[in-house]
Amino acid sequence: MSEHGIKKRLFVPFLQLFTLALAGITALSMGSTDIPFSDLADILLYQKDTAEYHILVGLRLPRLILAAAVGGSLGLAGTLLQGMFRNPLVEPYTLGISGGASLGVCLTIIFHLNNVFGIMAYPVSGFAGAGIVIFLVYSLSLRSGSLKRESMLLTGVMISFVSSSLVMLLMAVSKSDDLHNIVFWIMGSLDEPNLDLIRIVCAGSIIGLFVSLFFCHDLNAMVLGEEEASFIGIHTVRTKKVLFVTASLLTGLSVSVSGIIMFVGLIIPHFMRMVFGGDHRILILNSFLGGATFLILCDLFARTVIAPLELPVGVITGIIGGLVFIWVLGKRQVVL
Amino acid sequence: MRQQPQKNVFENGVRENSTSELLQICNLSCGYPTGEVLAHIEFCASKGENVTILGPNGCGKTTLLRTIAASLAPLQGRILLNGTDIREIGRKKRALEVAVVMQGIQTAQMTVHEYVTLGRLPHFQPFQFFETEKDREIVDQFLELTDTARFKDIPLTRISGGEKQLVSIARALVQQPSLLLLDEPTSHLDISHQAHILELITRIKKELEIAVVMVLHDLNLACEYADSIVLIDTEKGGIYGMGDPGSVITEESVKKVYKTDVLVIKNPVSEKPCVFLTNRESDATRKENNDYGQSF
Repeated sequence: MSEHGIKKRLFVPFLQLFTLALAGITALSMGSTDIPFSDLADILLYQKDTAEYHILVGLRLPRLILAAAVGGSLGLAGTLLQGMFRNPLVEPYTLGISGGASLGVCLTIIFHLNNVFGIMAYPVSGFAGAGIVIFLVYSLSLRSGSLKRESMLLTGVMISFVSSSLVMLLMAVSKSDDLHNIVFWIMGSLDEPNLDLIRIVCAGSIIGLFVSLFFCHDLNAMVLGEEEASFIGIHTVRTKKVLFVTASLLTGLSVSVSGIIMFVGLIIPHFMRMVFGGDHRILILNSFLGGATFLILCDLFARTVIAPLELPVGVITGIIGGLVFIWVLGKRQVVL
Repeated sequence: MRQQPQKNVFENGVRENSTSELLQICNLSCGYPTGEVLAHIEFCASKGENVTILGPNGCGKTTLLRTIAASLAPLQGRILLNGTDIREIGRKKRALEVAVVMQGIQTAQMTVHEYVTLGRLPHFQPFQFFETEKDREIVDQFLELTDTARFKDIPLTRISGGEKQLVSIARALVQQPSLLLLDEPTSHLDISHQAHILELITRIKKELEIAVVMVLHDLNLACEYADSIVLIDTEKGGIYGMGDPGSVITEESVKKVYKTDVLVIKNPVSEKPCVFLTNRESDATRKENNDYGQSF
């Protein structure tokens, strides 16, 4: 890397933006009714009464936007958590944060909190559940001395188990109406009819992106360890607080709308770091855009491979992610 | 470094003494909430001076260094940098004055150049995203000075222990500090790297007029390169003695602090004290001791 390396590498996010656009157009055109690329613009602009227009604007576009926002959020949350815990295996799912968020959302469904607080109850409860888990994992792993990677992962996995058991408990004692709602939501898909929720997830992911970019230097320094980072003037405690809240927000919002989608936060930051380097100034943008592209493509695959039926998108990310996890674990020396 | 007379000045109020000392440590107790490790620590360091902290393993050398670096809160007493308490200086401003090289750097997936550039962070303006031309020049300058420019594009994971130490020092120097703290910069290094690093430190303290406070565990290296030595005694939980190497490192003080019999003679070239161990189990030693009618 030459002296101007970082500026040269800025073209990478632009490349990613281009890939994202390409994936988006593909996702718009493919599905149970194929709409050729060449007709997309024409339909969107001039043929507002056709069935194709309604498929595009009513179904595929919201789904596309949600996939991009959720994928970006999860990729970004993974990057933030890996940077702060200095552990390449952590991500919202392995740390149990997704589990906590899903427990929060289940409670909302059972207690019908959405009747009291409106649609906002889902994202807020997801955010709260995620935040509580991050706090738990962090304080538990701190208590056992230094941040040990194995113990932290084990804590996270256990919290995942506990929260999924609690979700099952809630399902067992809930009325059949609620049960239907929970199952429907847990199956997790990006097919979300409520536009308000999609807007909230979009806004949350973009806010998260800007907050993270603001702390990119801090994250770079914290790769060296917290004490070293404080020696170069980083307020590590404040940085961690802000970024933990950001990661809970990103994860909580995603889970509350689309259910648990595993391992996006593991695969994407890893891949981006390996290919384009670990400088968080670039990595944050790369992970966000890469996560968005990845989830759009996974979702496209999920809804076309056995059309007209649909696979849950989590199945696909789970299979790819699980394999990547094992591969990373097997590498002799893993560095951030 | 001044010893006893200085103490009175401290007692009369620190601000009154307008010495040239950059770092003043006044009646410092340090340790952890669970217990005090060291007490009544007082010493000073001025620009261009190398103060080396010596003491047996586990005596609290590193704790002291971390307290000076403001990474640990002192239990009592104050640490003054240019007359201001170090804990009252903002974190970022402190990083412009004090640079720290701890033992063993985290291996991160970044190149040497990227790692050294991190040292410029305290100089970044708020909302500054990229390093400036000046930052790049300073990074290049210290990469040259520490002789690390030749592997600046190699990832940190692929350089040797000695090279890592040099790179850490380069990262500290680009902060352009007035005080450099080092924790055992020569540990696990062979003799050529030890000499190389300590000569580099001597050069930078002179050329850049930096005060250097470092922890070493090798008595001979400390005697050879330090301007003054602070010898810490575990039993006393404080300073056993301090001053220039010749006056601090004697057979008596080493026996008292390290519980080891040694031979201290003068290095014929530098006239600094030189500490020798003798193998008490070897035949030659036994013979000599028998000749003098002594036994262990």
